Amino acid sequence: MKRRFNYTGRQKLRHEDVVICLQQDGAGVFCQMDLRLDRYHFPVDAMLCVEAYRNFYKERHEFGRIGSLRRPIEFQLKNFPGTTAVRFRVKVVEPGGTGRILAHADGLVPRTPTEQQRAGLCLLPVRYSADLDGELWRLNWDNGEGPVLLEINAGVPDPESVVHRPEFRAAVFPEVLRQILRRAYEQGGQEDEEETWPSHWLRFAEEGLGVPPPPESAEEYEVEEWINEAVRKFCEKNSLLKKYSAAVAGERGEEQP
Amino acid sequence: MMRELRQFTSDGLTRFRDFLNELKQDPSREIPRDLLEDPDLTRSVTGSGRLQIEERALHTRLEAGEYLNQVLGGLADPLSGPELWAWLTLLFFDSVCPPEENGLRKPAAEARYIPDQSGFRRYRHALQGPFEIYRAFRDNPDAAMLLLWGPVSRQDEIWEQITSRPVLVQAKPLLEAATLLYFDRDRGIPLRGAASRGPGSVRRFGAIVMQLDRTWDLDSMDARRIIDLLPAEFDRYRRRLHDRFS
Repeated sequence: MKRRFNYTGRQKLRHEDVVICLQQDGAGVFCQMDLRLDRYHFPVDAMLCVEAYRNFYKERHEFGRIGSLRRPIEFQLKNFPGTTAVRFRVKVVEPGGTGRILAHADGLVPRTPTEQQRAGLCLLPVRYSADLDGELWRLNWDNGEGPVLLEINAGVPDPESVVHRPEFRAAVFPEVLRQILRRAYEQGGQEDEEETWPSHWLRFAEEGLGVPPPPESAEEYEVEEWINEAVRKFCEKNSLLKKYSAAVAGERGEEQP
Repeated sequence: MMRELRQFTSDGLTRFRDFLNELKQDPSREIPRDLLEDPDLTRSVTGSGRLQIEERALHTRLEAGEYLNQVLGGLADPLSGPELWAWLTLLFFDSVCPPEENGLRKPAAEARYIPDQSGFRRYRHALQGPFEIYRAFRDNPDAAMLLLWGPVSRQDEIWEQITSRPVLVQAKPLLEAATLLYFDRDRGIPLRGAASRGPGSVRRFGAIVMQLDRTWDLDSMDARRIIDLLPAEFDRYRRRLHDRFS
């Protein structure tokens, strides 16, 4: 493996922290960026810019200080000759006009709205852990400070395939979503401009599932109803039961519907 | 002469490719202009309506870039495939591959006439490259004169060195800096030594700037500031620039 030394102190923004959704319609090409910077600790007056590029073309959009970003981050590509093979570069630049790059992510592939919806569970990073004792999975809240993790017991055969199995998804994901939405609601975040894991999940419920969170003053039963509705929509959109049934039927050698 | 803008079908593209191969064997071969409007081998290109294009001489990359942007500027995605660009090449073949003094043509690699769709090698196309450069710099084509000055029939070392690193073209201040450093505006050609492999050459400029791009947000700087960031090996060109403007 080729090793490189980074003498510049520049950080690399993880691609999973920068999700750009691109939509083209008769009115133009529109982009929405989901940016999670909470783990990087940049100065609040560092500047954010996004560059879309393809071949010789580049279109640059500057969004000002990262401490006062307006969400959602949206922009329109105005001078691009089509959207095939367009890629994005995101830079966080030192304040004070020095031009020094503090962090960047390059080669970002935009998602279509459908892909974005399908990728909803990317909100939940997966880690394989040897410390789960007898449990197959566990939600790790990182003391509520970091992003939640779905931990899978590394001791089972082929642990990486676990989250892709329809039986596991159907049995576990609804409960995972239920727990996360409950805690996200309790911790708040829908009015919070900072990028925190609760705000990501509350936005996912609202935009990805079409179920806006109830107000802070909601009664317990209203919160319960909201979570149930979100979980129901999630199962429906991902056809969890149908895929489970098909997988079980396949194992039994039955004809699948 | 005005013609309807068309593009090859896949069969038309094959026929054009056959012609290029035949031309290598027989440099006196006549240009198959009848392909341009063959309804079985071409189809119309439509934007907001049927488009017209003038069959004319294109002397420089600047002229080609400007004219093709006028004609194709309204298309939703003029870069989507090789069929349009191969058809344009045939239309302007006398400019793209002119006969030499003895009347014979000397065709270059196929990528000069049919865009190579793999990655960034598309810049090697004789017309698509100038089209893209001009489009990127249409607000200030002067800043790209280091690339746009030459004939469409030839691509020199400077073209190769710069266009093979798309970052140098994507960040407008970078190509502007290269044009300031290496282009002799009085004579309309690059300075002697710019195309060499030595210190301070365009080749070295590309290599150094790729390093700077990792650390500095070069797009936010103007061309002069980028030139100031270059190491001492560029002093010869930097001094000339300083003398010119002081």
